[in-house]
Amino acid sequence: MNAMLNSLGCLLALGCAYYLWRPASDLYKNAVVLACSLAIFVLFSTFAAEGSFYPMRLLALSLCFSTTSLTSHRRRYLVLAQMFWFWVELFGCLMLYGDGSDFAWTRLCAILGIFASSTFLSKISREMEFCLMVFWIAVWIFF
Amino acid sequence: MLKILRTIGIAFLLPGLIVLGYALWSGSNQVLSDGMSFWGVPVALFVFWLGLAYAGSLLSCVFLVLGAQLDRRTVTFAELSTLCCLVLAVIFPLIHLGSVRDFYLDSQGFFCIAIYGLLASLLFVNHLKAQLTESFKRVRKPLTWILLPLILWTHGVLCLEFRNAFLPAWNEAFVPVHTLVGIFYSGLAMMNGLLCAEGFRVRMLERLMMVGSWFMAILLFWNFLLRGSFATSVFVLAVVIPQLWWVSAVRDSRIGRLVISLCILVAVFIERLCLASSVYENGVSSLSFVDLGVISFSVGLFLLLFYGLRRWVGKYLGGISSYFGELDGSEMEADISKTETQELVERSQYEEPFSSREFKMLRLPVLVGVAAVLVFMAVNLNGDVNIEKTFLDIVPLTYPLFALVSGLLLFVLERKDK
Repeated sequence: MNAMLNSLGCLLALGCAYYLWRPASDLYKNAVVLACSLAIFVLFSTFAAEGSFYPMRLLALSLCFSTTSLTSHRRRYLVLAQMFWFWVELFGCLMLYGDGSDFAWTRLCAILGIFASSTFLSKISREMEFCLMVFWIAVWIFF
Repeated sequence: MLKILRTIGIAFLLPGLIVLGYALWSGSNQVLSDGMSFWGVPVALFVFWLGLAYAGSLLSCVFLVLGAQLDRRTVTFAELSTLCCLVLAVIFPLIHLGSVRDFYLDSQGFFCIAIYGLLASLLFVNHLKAQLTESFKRVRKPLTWILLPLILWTHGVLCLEFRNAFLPAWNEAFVPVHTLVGIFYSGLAMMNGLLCAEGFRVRMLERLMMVGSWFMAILLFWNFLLRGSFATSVFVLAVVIPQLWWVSAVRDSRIGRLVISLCILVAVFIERLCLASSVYENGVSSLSFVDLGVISFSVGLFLLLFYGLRRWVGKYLGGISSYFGELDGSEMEADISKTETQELVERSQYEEPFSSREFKMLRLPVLVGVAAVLVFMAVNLNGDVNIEKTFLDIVPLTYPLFALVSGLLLFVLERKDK
């Protein structure tokens, strides 16, 4: 996938994350947003000719972004979202490795690093939210 | 009611046992559908029961970690069903182990499953003991944080094993995620089915199943875009029929709830069948009487095992009602709705990471676990020329090893302190 489409995917993930966990939204509303996001990611991946596990990668990234808008238990959800992202990336790469694809070591190390570090995060300030988002975007686009 | 369920179990098990005995006596060609099937139905059953085995602990862990309020009975059912499903999952590879060369499980898969089984048992024992001793209650959440990634990891490793076992449908990178959604969904259906069978109702499970059906629809659509094949029977059973949750008459009927749950379980099994062999993609009409017998055997054995263990646990630990609730469903429905709407646990205040109780309990076991993994990797990578290949061979074993060491140490240390 070219860098432009990859960046567009990142923007899509960011856009979908905005609608997640809005105040006063219940289980059904959040589930509809998540399901619609996944459907959009699947269509985008098909359009971009990037099948495999790309939609789930986008969903995991979107979940990471969405944790910054939470009002409570943010560290817990942050760790869970990054754990999911790491799992999707690791086993997706391992599944593709047998077909001769490159193994994204740097991306995996970066996600593992931020996952481990975020377990030690104290209260997440606005500055920290910004740093986390910049880090995730950097991992997505450059690694 | 339990007697009826056990009788149903025997009714499924006995014919299944006869057919299974016949199949084993006659030889492997009774089960093998064709050259590409690789023991189609036993493999599908292995994947299906293993998925349900993951699902019980996965649901228990996810609810606990997210702080969702589920009553004790539902969680006990989930964790007990995990152990029973795991026994069933292990039976199917054992039936033919040694008969087919280069089959689908090597030491990595068994290593992961064994560790998962051990820690899932530990979680279940901890759950039972937590109602009697305070110290067990404290271990529960930290243990969950170790077990939750292990479930995902073990599932991923098993997907890799299947990929290497020449099953064409598993050669896609989206398989781990796709099957994980099925695991979660079938786990909800299994839990709801078990509870309904005894006359209980948990509305949260119904709502989650409704949500799960939407995700299943998207995954089936994704599968269609990727492969061009669409499993209509799975779509009807797993997506269309669960929409009946919108109808209050169906929702309020015990039979209705049970039927929807069973439809979901059948749909997930058909999906596993299609993943195990392309023979079944055009429908399950190609199932032979031996295949049906093996399926009947597994259902019967599960029912007997589950309700037998359920009775034994209740008796052994002083009163079945303390773990599984009363058997009169109508009273418990009111009780459940109360537990779902009432805030039983106050929102915990923010705790600094280094001062939280979970951090203090986990830090030493986690450090020892990481040290064990580093030693393991150093020993295995020592002097190897092709580091990357060796590294990829040992990566799948790292987290299970970490979970084993840290989980056991956490349990032992906490018990020692008390």
